[in-house]
Amino acid sequence: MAYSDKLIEHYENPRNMGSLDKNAEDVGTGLVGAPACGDVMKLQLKINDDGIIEDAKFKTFGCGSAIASSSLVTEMVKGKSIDFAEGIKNTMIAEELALPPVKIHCSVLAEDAIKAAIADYRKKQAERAATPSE
Amino acid sequence: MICWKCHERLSSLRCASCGALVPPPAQPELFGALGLDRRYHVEAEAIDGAWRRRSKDTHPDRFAASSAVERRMALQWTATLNEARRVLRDPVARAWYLATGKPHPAESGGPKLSPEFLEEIFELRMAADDEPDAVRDTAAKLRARLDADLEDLFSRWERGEGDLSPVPERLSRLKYVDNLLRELPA
Ligand code: FES
Ligand SMILES: [Zn+2]
Repeated sequence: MAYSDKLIEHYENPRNMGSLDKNAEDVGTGLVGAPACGDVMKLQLKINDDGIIEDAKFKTFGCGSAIASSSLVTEMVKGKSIDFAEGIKNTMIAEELALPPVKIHCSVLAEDAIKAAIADYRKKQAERAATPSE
Repeated sequence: MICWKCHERLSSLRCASCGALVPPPAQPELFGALGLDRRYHVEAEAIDGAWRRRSKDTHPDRFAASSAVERRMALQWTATLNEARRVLRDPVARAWYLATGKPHPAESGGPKLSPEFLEEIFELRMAADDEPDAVRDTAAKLRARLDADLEDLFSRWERGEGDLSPVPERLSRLKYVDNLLRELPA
């Protein structure tokens, strides 16, 4: 199977690997799994009060396509708004990396991870709004 | 079953009287294709034996002189029997097949796993390089528990108690645990 240069590039030099403080108020964490293969991905977003993603980190235990997908997606969302990040579809990732059909689920993992991280951030914000400040 | 060609009673896939082959089903049920009962507990030898018997009846070589339709039917039977043997011999594929009609998990969607479980898997994978032995130990325990669970669900189902609806969730967990075990440094 021939992989695209872009995929190999992201796989060999993944951007934004690592983690953020998952207890921080401005960090949303998404932890998701791929049922087809049993791989897991954690993706974290640091979001400021204007809804801009200031930082993004990931840690993926999965195949090369999953690592490249998470690397690409963290690059795509940095400096962008939550709304933009929410609009990311796995097909965009798959196309960008020219993933073969059997690897589409790996890009789904990245989309799921972004969505889960945003959902976690929103939940934290709602909880913060609900607790009276001291 | 009656032979479609000579109306003789059939005891196998091939008519003893005229040699005609039973038409292969379009959507074969894999146990039925081998003439086996739908059960989780089935020995590999029983599957191999059933496969051998039926393959003998449907072997394309036997139909070299038959019509094109029958030759095609023989080829289709061969493919179905091979597929049935391959899927049913693998306990995990067999379990998926019994519970969902498909021998493997869906590409996406599927049973929702608890966040705690994914968290546990993630932590184990984080620790895999530094403490492979401890991780292997924990994973083996997780697997043993899932195995016991599945064993229990299928045993009861075979006795006519309960259903298989909890099975996909267990199998899905099993996938993560097995994947973790496979990725552990030797
Ligand atoms: S094979 Fe599992 S994420 Fe790619
Ligand atoms: Zn006949």
